[in-house]
Amino acid sequence: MALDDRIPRLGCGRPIDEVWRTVNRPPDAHERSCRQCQSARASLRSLAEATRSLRHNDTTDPALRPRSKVKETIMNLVRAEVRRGSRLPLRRDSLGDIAISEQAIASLIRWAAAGIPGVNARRCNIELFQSPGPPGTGAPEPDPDPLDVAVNVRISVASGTPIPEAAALLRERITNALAKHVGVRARTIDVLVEDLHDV
Amino acid sequence: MSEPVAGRLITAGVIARIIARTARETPGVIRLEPTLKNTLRSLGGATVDSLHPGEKTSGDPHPDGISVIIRDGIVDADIDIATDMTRPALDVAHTLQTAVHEGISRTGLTAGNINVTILAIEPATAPRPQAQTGT
Repeated sequence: MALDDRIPRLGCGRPIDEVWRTVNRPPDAHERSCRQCQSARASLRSLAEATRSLRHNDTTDPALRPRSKVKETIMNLVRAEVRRGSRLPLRRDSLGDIAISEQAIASLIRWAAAGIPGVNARRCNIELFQSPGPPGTGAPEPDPDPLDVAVNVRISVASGTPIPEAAALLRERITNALAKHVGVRARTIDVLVEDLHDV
Repeated sequence: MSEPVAGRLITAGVIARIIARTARETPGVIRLEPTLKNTLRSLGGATVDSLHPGEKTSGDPHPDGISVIIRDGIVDADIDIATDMTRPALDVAHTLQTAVHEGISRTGLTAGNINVTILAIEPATAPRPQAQTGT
């Protein structure tokens, strides 16, 4: 579940349910250029194949008809499959690995933005932070701290919203949310205002 | 005289259920996330059969969100969870990792890599979302 509106969304803002609804059609213009949509569609291919088989069984053998609540069950699986598609490694030690779905962090960022008047979060991208490394080398830091992340969020603001203050508040809320609810540090937060909307 | 060969005492399915119980008892874990194979099993075995010819759908499926491999007495597991917002998800995952290691050690097997993936972070009392559409 997304934290902002109870409809899980990809980092680009498109609802997962919408991706699922159109997974059997050719990708639209947005999906052809969106890495997150392409990853989600790839994650859902096996499930789409399975549901086609399920529908076929429905028509040929009533005994194989799925039980009630099947739609909700499949949608819960759809959301889980998409979340599995893109993961950020957070920790590796003798116990094993810990990773987090990029979509889980994107939902958290949307939730943080939702509390700011006049700000609508659109596309969110999250990556492990890579420092530029020693000056003059042009090489990334050899062993970055995996608990540091870099956030890129595009927003729309309501007309008349003081943008510098809104961006500063958004950065503060994202920083706090990631620390409190995930346990990672936002080393960079790039905010791009890409649109204005009416209140 | 040669020593008797040690028999296999515990199945991957039992280990998976131990992990599932450990997850349910770990503060901050809301649920284990559903997997394709288990969901299809619950909906209709013929669908799984058509996707994985030769695999039997009866038997001992693993609980949702858990994959277990036992090799030479070492258990590797992948666990997919959703956590609530009351605790840092990373701490919840690490607590679960530690508890699973301890639980496996009590079976006589050795815990190898216990990999935990946080797939969702949600308010603790959030209701499940209603499906909008489906295929």
